[in-house]
Amino acid sequence: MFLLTLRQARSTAGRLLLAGVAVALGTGFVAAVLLTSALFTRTISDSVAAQYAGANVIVHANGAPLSDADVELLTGTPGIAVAEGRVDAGVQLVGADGTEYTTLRNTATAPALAAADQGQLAEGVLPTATGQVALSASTAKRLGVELGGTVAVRIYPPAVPSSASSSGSSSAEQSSGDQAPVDTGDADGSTTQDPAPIDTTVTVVGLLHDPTGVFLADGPVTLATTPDALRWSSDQYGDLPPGSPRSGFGTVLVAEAPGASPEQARDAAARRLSAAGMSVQTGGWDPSQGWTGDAPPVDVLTKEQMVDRSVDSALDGTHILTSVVLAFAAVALFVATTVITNTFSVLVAQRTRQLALLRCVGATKGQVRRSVLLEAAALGLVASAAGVVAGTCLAAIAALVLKHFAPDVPVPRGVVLTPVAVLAPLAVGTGATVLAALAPARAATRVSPLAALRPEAAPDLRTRTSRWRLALSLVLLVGGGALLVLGTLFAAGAFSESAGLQGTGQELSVYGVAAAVLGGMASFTGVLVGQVFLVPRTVALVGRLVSRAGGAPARLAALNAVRNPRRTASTAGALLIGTTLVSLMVVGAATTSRTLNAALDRQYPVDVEVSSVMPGFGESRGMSTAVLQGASAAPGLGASAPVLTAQLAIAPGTDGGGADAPSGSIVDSVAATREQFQSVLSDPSTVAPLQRGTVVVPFDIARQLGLGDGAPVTVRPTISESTTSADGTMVSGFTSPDTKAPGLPMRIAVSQVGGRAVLVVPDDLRSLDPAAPTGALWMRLAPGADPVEVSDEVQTAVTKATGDDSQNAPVYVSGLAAQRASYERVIDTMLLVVVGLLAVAVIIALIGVANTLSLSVIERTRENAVLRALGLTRGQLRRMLAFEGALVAGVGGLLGVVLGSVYGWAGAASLLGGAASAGGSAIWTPSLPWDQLGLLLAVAVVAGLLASVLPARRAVRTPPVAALADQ
Amino acid sequence: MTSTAPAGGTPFPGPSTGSSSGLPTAAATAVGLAKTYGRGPAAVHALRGVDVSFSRGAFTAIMGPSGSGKSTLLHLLAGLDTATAGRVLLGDTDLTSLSDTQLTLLRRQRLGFVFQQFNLLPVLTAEQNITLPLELGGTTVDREWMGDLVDVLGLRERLTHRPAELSGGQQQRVAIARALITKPELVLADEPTGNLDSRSGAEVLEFLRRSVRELGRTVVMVTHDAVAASYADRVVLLADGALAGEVTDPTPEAVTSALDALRTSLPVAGVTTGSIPVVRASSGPLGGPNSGSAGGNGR
Repeated sequence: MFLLTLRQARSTAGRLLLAGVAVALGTGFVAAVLLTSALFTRTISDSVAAQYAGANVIVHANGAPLSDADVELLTGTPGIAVAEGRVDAGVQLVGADGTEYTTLRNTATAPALAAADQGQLAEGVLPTATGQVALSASTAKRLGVELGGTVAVRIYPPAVPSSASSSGSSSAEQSSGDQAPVDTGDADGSTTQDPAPIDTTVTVVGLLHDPTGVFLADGPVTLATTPDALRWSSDQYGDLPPGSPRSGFGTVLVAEAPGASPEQARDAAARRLSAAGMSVQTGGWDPSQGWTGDAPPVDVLTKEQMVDRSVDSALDGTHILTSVVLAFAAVALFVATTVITNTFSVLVAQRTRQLALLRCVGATKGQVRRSVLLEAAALGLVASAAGVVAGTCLAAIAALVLKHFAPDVPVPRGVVLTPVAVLAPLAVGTGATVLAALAPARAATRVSPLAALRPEAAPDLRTRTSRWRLALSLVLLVGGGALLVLGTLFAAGAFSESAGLQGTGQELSVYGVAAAVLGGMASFTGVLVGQVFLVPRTVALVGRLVSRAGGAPARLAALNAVRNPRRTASTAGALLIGTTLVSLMVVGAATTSRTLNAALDRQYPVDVEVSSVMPGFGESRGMSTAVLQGASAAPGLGASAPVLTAQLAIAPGTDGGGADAPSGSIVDSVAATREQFQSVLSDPSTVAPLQRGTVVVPFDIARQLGLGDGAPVTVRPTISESTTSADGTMVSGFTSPDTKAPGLPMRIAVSQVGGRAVLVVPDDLRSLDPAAPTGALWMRLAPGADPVEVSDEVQTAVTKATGDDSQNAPVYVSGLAAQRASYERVIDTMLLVVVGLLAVAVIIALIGVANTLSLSVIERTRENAVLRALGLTRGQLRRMLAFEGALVAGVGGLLGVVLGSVYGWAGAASLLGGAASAGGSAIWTPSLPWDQLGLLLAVAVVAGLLASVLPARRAVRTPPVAALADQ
Repeated sequence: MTSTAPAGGTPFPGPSTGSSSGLPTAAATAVGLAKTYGRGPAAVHALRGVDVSFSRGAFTAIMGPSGSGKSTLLHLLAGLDTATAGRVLLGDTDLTSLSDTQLTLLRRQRLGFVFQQFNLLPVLTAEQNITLPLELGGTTVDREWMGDLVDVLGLRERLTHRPAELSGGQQQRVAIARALITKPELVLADEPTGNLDSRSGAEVLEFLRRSVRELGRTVVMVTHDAVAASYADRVVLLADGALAGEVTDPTPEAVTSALDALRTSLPVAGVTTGSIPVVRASSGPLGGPNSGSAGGNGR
């Protein structure tokens, strides 16, 4: 039997090849998805993780910095090999051509942790001794310093003695830094004398690559040794409880001991720290949740948790990326199995007569079945292996595409083959092929041996479509559809808000997404089960409509297309799956990118922000006119608006003050006229309610404050106090509501505006805090301007304008638009690659169409010859087959596009609606890209035409005399 | 079924072609026609130089043992196959000089076919099958002609049925209507009764003969059945790819004896063998002398 199988396989090699190609493509798809999803994950996590180098556990201070003692504590913990503190601060540099405020980091010393620093180095060496720094190359250029030259580090010593005063303070929202903006200072400026800034000359020993990593939101970086960095970063950690050290580490990097897992190391570190009396959090702690006790807890996280958190915070708290990748692995398996099943059914159907002949000459049913299955297993294995190779190449191409379209993204070189990425597709391909062969093998044994003797060409495998099938299909379709709708509504937060389930909204939306995905899969399975009813009817209907235009060949083609409903259904079904998925992605992508744009608008309300930084507890200074003018004049800007900044205390109710009045929460606030805000905000409508007496509050802050739209509040100024211990090593600072000041009754307007500050008009702010400085400059890019270039121009202008004037406060430039552009590019590229992958599914489906058409041509040799004898020209015969192919493909495509649009829409609604409800009211924006969907449909039709080319060639080559001779 | 309808039967508006005008021109002529399959020692000579002419308005049967080349001759006459040597003329048109498309259009417009397997398209209704050749050419259906054909062939009640719902005889009648709908110059029938029981076969043959006698068509039929051949005006005999004689005004007995003679290579009285083909205008009286045998066949 084995030999017979082999011989049979060889004799039908051509058709086996087609089936094999389908299997190979299917498995290749699975392999490619697995490999590229690994690639994506690595790309994203690498860019985040790069800054943590070899550390797998990160201890992160949300409040007071960690001290050397804390680091020592961790180093001695079992399960931990090495721990090193890292300074997360900023430093003002003064060069020949200007001054620039940069991010300050210290170099690591342990080899396990130093790799990241080394990787940043473009030229020269890393600082190893006091007085040495490495600068971003662009900073060095702006400051006018070369490698080996010197710059000054300017630090601002705290004012002594301190005195309370109303505060006008900076509110530099640096989305990157977790440290609260330093705030203090004496607005009165009369009672205290700020000591002059101290400049220290340091040598530039190294130049660094400019940080362009997508998830590194820092600007230019200055690297220094740990002691220098600690000294320069004094007093930068904001409000500190008394007794805090003046400087320390924002982060401690921990490498686990050999043999310990990151999780074990994390738990060990967490236990050690809490034993030392710290409040420790090992899960994801969200600053908006608030905290109890003196200070926010210290995060102890594995690198993976940290990466997740960074990625999620970048994408507004969703697990979009993880969901998308997982969904695609599942989809890949699904498509591959379905296509292989379809193809193999056709293959066995074609051979039914041959198998019946075998039965005729004495083969038992078992032998026939084994023969078919054996062949399937062999074909599956060989084709799957080829598929894995092809999939690997595909993944490598995807990596190249990603690199090409998003050069900023640190894509890992090459594709790393994991056992899962190789074995899973192999198993799936072989398994699916054998499974796919089971049903046809059974059908083959059911065929009566006499079938071989019947004169008709090929016995029809048509079976009556059962009621069970219809019932099952309907149940799946209706049930799945209902689940999909309900899940989508739940995920989009339609219920959580009306039911007032604020706290569980997130949870509900997760269940909602799960339900929607389940519902989607069930209903799609329903469509596939019921396609034998749906597809032929649709084909017949469309065929009747379209064939009016095409004459007799078109009419014949339309009739021929539904001759074997089951085969037509499975052919169109394969294409239906492909186009469903592609249009799902196209619609999903369009909706996703629009929604993410909305999310990014929220995250980055303005394109470029220049803000004054208040290091130490120095005198409050706004930005100088020179800086304002210089920055506003930078090329590529469409609009700019200087804004006043202050911290305000907001208390609910209009109590009018008094000793027992609630003091309220302290929030950063910015002030400008409505028109000014509108000129620079990415979504001008968000400040529409702004007027005297109104505080426009971003949604997140409103939720933290527990205030709803229209709520009456009392707003007060704040005062800042700071004390320094006698020896000058300890400092404490404190900002509190000025309860003595009269409260200003105002109203809340909750808005979708982004940022971390509330918005008021200048008159209101001035009435509360007359000394509020112009602490920031908000800017909008001119249309079409390149965000990276403009950020650079602004930085250059600021560096020039500040000169070396020590009276100017350090000014920090954050190119939000540049970061945003990076996100957009990453999202677009990923969607592009994913759609590309799915296009493979369409190609597989087209092989199915060609397969079916060739089968039809074989079966209809006689009929076609008769038609030729009756006067059908070769051209007409070709047209007839082309029309048939296009009709089947077009209907598959049409149904797929419709289904895919529905699913894409629902998918985006549930995934992004969940994200939106977690962060605000639903902001997901439905979007149907008609042009792309139309293109997809056109591709399906054209592909159907193309699929008819080879079968048609065979058909027209058959001389018409065959019809008469074959008697 | 025992008697054929004489001239006084259903009145036909009649075809427009001038078959009854008695033009001496043959409907189709083969000149030195040869067909060889394969090459070298494996070559099969299906036709070895056949000269034969088929009169306009006549019903001719081609007979011969298996492998005598009768089907090949029919295919060449139909322009379905290309000749190795010689020429085929349809009227004045030399088929051997035409391209595939020209041949296709010629088949569509000037030829009609009736096959042994009926070869109706299963997806079309009887009516759609009948009008198919017209639709292929995009010409409109002559409703009157269609109505006449349908009535003559008794298909009025069957027009909306698909082939699978028709009996063999009905299917073949549909096939005949399909062959006649274009009013072709020549109708070629390949074993039209081969798949039918004798009663249906007689019906079909009767219709073919009526289409010649009453509708003025020219029919050439290949058959191996002497009774079927006796419906024709003339029987052309083939053997080993060459013309082996002919029988005019055949009866089943005459045809059978002629065939027997071929097998035994003995000349038979009343049969000219191996001669230059006799071309006879078959304008004789309707309901010919062989009607008696046809009646016998019907029993």
